[in-house]
Amino acid sequence: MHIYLPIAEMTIEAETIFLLSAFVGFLSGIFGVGGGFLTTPFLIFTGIPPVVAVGTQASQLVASSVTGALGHFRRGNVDIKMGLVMLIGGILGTLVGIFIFKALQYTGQIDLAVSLLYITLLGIIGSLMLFESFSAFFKKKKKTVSKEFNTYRMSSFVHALPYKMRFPRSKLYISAFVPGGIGFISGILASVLGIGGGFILVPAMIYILGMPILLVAGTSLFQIIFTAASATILHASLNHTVDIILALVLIVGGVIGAQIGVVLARFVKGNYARMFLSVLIMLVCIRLGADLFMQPTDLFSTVVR
Amino acid sequence: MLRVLLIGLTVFTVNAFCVTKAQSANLLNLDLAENHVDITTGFIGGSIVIFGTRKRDADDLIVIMEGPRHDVVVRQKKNVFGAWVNRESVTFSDAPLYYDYAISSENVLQTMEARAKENYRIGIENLLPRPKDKKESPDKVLPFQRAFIRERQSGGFYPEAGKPVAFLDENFFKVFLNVPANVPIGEYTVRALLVKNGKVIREKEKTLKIAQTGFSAGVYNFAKDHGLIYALICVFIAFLSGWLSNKITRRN
Repeated sequence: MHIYLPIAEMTIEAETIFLLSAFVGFLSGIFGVGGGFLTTPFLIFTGIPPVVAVGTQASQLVASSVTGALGHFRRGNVDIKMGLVMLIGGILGTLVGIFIFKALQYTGQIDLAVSLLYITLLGIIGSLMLFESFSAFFKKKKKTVSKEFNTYRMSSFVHALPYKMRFPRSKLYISAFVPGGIGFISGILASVLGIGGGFILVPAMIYILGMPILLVAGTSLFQIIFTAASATILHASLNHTVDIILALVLIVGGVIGAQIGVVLARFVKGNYARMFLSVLIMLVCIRLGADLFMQPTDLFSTVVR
Repeated sequence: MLRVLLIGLTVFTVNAFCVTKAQSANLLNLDLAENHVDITTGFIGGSIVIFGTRKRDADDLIVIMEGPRHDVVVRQKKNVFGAWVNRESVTFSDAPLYYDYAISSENVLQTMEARAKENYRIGIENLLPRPKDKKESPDKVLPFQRAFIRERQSGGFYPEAGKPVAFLDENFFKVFLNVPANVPIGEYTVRALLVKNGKVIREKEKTLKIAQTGFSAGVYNFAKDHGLIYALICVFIAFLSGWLSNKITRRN
């Protein structure tokens, strides 16, 4: 079925986008990752302008993080105060991000910036995951399960920062700049790349903030909802790059895919699945890199103002 | 008597002159089957039907459709540390994004002077877009102009060869021009040129509007005119579907 996208001003095959988002949703159902970092490159591969892909992906991110956060909320795994502090940084980050985005768009470097950032991020995550799953494969050793309220010790630099606040839920007494700064980075990622950046947020919250691992996923999802909402609003009102029809196809596909993923997750061996995901991430990274580093057939590109 | 006759004769010649004038004005007629193309949610392309009459079947016909005119930036990639990065750019003003044409016979293009073809914008070699900055050197601009045309051609526009003009009889003609699914929206012009011995003797023009209609137009216009409300609706829908999705998960 062909669908005309009113904002992207092009016709797409709805099935392609639907299958794509269902596939990413399926992966996120299995692995619990957001999957935005895969959807945006896939959308770009199908010919959707990168600016529309990023803007629209931000709105899909709102939906998927609402779903995820609600689950954690019900189990009480959200540190709302921490989330709110991160959120202030996050919203500032989306504002800065949107100006970076507009400046890059104006100078014609946005496609380059988006692919470079994706190559870097996917390259790091993909190779880390690949390394981890391979070493687990060879060792065949059960990893020691960290206790749920385990926290990591913070560096003295983090402790030295001013404006300390108490976070009773996480049992932390730290500078508001730390969660605010992490939120800020997530805000920039949300508005420049259309991703929540959970794969950066989660380790940062564990190792830099020293938050209890149990609370990390829920709190980061809670924060991403509003950061992504802010990015969506900025993209839609300043850039006109949020295509609501495309967003709906992505959201519906993602929801259905995630349901299938959750059911199938029981039958999938964790390590093989992780290996598969990391190989997939590396392939997307290589494809983006090839587009950037191989001489293009046409050195010229055209943009209608 | 002679005077009356003379006056009569004058009236007659004046009348006759008027008639020839009227006839020559009707040397060429042009109309469109529809003066608008509606892009709806299921739009997969279509065609424009142009028809008209020419008085004398010896005259040749050229029909050109072009539009909408936009400023266009063409950028050139250069190799920077192994990566291919946009470096130089040229901005062109009012370049039509769509161009297609039809000719009644192959020889009409050979009989015309290069200058005339350039003025009337006939054939893609005469469509090089004009740079916004007039001081740009032609040598530098040319590859950018060519790149613009190449890019248009890869999207299915700016065809090398003209389409045929179909004649239902010696005088009544009909032209079909394709409108692909990715057709740019905006104002188009359709021109018909009547050519005699390599000279354009008549020109007729019609305008055509290609626009989104129905639901997609509503979305497009609303998003442009009320950006903030549109943004809030997008976010609201995302919240709602996220919440619904969570409900479904819980039920399962």
